[in-house]
Amino acid sequence: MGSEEDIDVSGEDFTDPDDFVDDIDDKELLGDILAEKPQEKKAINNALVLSGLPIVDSARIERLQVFIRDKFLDKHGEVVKFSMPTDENGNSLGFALCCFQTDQQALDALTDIQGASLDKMHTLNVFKFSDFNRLADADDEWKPPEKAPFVDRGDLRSWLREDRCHDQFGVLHTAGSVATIYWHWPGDPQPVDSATRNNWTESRLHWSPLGTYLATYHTKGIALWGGEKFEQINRFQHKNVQIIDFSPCERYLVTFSPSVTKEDPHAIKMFEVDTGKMKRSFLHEQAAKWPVFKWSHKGEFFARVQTGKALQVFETPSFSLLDKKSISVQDVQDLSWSPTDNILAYWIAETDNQPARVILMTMPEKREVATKMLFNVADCRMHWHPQGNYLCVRVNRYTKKKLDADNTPKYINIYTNFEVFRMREKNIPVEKIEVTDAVSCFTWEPHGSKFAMVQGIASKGLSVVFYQVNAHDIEKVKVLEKRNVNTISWSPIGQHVVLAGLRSANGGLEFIDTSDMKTTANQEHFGATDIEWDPTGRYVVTTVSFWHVKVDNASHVYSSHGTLLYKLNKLERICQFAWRPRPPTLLSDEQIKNIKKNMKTYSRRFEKEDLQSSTRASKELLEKRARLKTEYEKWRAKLLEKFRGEKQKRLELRGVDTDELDSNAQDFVEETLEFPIKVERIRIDKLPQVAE
Amino acid sequence: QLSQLNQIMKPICLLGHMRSITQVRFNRDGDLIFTCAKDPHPSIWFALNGERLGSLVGHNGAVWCVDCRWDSEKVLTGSADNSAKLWDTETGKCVLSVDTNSAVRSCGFDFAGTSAMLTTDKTMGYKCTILLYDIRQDPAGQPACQMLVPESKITSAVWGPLSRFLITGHENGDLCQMDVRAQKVIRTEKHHKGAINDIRMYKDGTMFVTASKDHTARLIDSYELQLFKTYKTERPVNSADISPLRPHVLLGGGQEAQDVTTSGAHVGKFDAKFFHTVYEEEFARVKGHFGPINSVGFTPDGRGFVTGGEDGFVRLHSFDNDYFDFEFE
Repeated sequence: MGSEEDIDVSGEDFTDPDDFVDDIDDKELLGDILAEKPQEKKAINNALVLSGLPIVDSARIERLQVFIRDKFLDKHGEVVKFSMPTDENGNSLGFALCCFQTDQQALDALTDIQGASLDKMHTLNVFKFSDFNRLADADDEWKPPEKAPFVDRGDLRSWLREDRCHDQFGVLHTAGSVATIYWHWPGDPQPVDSATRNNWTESRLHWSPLGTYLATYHTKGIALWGGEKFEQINRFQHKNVQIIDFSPCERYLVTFSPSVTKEDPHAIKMFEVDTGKMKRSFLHEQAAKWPVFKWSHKGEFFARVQTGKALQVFETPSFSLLDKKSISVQDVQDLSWSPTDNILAYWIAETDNQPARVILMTMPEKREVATKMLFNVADCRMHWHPQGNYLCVRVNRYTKKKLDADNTPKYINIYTNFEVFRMREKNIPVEKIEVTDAVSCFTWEPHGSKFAMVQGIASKGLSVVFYQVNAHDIEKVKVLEKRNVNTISWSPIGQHVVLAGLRSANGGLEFIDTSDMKTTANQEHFGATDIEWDPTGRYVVTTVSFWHVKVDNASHVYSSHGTLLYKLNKLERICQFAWRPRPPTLLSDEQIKNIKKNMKTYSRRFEKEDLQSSTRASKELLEKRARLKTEYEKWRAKLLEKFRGEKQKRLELRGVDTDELDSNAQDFVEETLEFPIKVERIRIDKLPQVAE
Repeated sequence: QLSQLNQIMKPICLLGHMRSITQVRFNRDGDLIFTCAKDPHPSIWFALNGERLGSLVGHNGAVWCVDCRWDSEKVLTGSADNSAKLWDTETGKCVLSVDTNSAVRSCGFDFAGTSAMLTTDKTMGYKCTILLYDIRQDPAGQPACQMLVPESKITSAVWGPLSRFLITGHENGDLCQMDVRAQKVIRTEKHHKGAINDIRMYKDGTMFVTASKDHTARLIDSYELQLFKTYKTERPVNSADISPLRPHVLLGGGQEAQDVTTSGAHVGKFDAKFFHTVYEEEFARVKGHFGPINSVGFTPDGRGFVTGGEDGFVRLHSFDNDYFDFEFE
């Protein structure tokens, strides 16, 4: 090491020699700065070609330009360049070129205006300028597209064909690090082969609406699993996906991720499940409840509200706006699809000079089939009956309205009205119910005509109230007082309901048969955080999830009448219990009626099977028996060996082979025995005279 | 989980005895049933319809045991009147009678059908004895050989495979292989804790089932007397048999009338019980007897069974289709 004294360098010369050329390039020295250098781009990705325009003369060309920019282009962004070429006479040639500031604006414009009609004779045909080059460069020879290899996914519905129609359920346990799919054999659920996997999902399990797929979350996106062995069906890329939604038909998957970047600013992506292709993506600007896009029952349309402005209804498979435009509705707040028909319900907030309204509109015709004016409305919430038979709009109404300092409305004395639209009746009549107490947990009875809600405030005691929609009125059929209930859970087939006090309440469970409004059982699962009926309405499962409570994580399985059947507590730290949904029944109403009529014959057969299966041995017992059987057979084999070895001696002793009953069949003699079947005694008084 | 088989089967009831049945036996072909009881007249019946062929007249006391020769030509009976008799099956005539010092408890033809073995009770100065007779001799008179059993008396005895030795069950639960001709006890095993009431051979003679007062029946091999299976019940087992057709064992028992008062308030339950041979699990009961069941037996083709009870009734059952389809999982 050098000494610490200062070194005298005053006499040294540190200049480079004259011919020195340094060999460090700019990239090494200035790398980070260079990265920020604006990239020169061939500005073609933000350019569009609009064709199909009318041919106009020089006099009207300017008007046409203004018209086009106004109507189609300006709303998508800044048009930095616009040009409408003309011929030598100044007439337009039927097309125009435009450049937007950003690529995305051009893309948006393209999707929006493609196919829009200018007038009866002219329809816009828009394409990207970059496509133009590609098409021009394309081969003159047409090559047929390559056939993609066929991927056999197997039978995605195999689970429905289980012998005894048992359902499956998925459990996320061990604090979320292990997920297992089980067969629900009552009392003894068995894991499905190869369906216990570590780190199968990074957050939760999500079944598709008809039960065909299991969706798992990953940092990179979503994976779908299915088939008998739960093989991976498809993957959908969306970084840091947080929440998803399926279309009811399972054809499309919508994902949301809060991680947006400059290159990929779209928080919502829509994928086609079969192909894995992303069909469309959207920005997500306003705060909203998930799902942002609501699907029609067959997956033909999806829609979202632009609060205060419009309804955007898109159609599939094009993923573009129905009729190429949004439905402009001033002050629109929210929308909701009927679960069984292409009817969209939406409500419009009250303004100074207009009352609030609920409007029902058919799609795609956009025909209004019902409208209801509502006065003094603070808020509305729409609740569809699961079979689409009724729509109930819960209207929070006020007696007085004040304006705060910053002009936000403040409502005094809120009470609730329920407007029930009878969807299956002519002209959709609407009936009203008024409730003065605070209301929560409104739920419809599936396949029925009842609805229930919790009324009151906790401090004064909550009640659960049941209503019945009759042909001519809506009747309050039962009030159950002093119930600490925060969840009303109906069986998916109707009639049975569980009133539950989940989470902070004590886990009380009241099972009610609403056909006679009698409580069939009262149970308690202390600390239960979730409750779920199985898709057939036979079982109810309550779970204490590890995500909320760190101890006593278990799932309890009850019958529809509230009998505790068994507890799933051998799995550690259960986070989630999820039944696998089923597709709707293929039986017609007529067939269902017939089955109900002949219930007795069916139930006899199933009772017999149930009896046999209740005696059906558990796996351990079966294994034990198999062992015993093999041991016994080995023992017998040894004895039989000795027996066979002695055969000669036996023949000697008896002279004939008597090893089997028919060993000496040749010696058998056929003998006919007569047994009188009936003996009759006839008394003869006198013997007949014999003639001499 | 237990099926009531008798709901479907209708048994044929053989009413021929005034006193408790002591033994029921089939001939090898299964068309004849031999019954003996505490009355002096054993009977022979047609298994087909329960019609009586006839009775054997000659004894003066309870008949403890009966056996039919493999060719169905001759019948052997042993009685409390200190005699054993050989009969002609077809005519019912007694062709041979031997006197013993005490009641004959067990009897049996050997494999060839040329010898008969008898065991006698221990009474008043006479020890329990095994006697072998050559029945080809006419008159037989004297036993070809005999062997004394000094300790626990024999309560049940059968011939072993190829009739090389006898397998005897004793009052203290002992099981022995006796070579009477060599006057030797080949082997002794103690599997039971109480008297062995009955021993029945499997159709091929390689294994047998014992029924004991200790509430169990056991499956044991004939060559080494090795215990293989145990069937447990709650009351003394009087008789047991192995099905020639299915892996089933049939047990019959119950409390004897004279024991009831001493052993508590329980009323004897009088079912014939069916166990799975390999799994040792009871799977069916057939009720019907008004008193304890003293003797049971499967038909040689395994399609039915017969039970004889303290009530003097002999019940002949035929299995219905459910029995043959019934499977343990």
